[in-house]
Amino acid sequence: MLVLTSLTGGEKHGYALIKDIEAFCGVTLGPGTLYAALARLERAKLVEALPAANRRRPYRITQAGRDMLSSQLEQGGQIVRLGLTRIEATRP
Amino acid sequence: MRQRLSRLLLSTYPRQWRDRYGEELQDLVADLEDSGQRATPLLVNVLAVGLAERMRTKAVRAPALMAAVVCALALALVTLQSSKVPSHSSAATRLADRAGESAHIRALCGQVPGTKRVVVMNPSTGAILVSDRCNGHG
Repeated sequence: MLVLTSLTGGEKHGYALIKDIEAFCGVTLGPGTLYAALARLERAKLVEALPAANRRRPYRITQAGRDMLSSQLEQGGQIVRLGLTRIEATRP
Repeated sequence: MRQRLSRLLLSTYPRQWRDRYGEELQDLVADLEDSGQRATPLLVNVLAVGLAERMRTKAVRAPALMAAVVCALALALVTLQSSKVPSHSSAATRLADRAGESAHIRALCGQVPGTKRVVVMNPSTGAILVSDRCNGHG
């Protein structure tokens, strides 16, 4: 989800993805972790690789990726809203 | 030298995966090192994910797995002990001495799969060395 969220901001190569994810949520992905995720996402056709520029290959989110991310975020949003409502309701 | 080690660690990945993403992953490790990140955690991550990918594709060969696990444990140990170098003379020191390297090289990281070469690290500088001058020993 982090990789897809990062790619909604525009196509990025590995290094740019790591730095962007680090910036927006404070998580530093390892290089192996990132490429394992990219490989899974590419297999599932949620992202696609673009032609390499200066030895760096950028990745772009596909429409299927956007749909999947949107659905995941919506589910996450429901949980967040429910949690916040319950916290508010039980506030002493 | 680290590029050599990172290439070596890539051999833990399934061939198809390596052919597709290997070069990009290696470039990324180099970029992250250039940006100031410590090499050891990066390489441990590359190794750990490589093993996971192997397990996932069920393409694990026992000797390669053993060598990789030994390497991972040794790298983790090096990371933990990098600030305090032990004074005892380890097998790695003797191997390194025999290889004509500095006596400060104390940490044996593991053996290169399928060869008699060893990977050693100098904890004070972080330099990683793949030595093939210890054939027949250790």
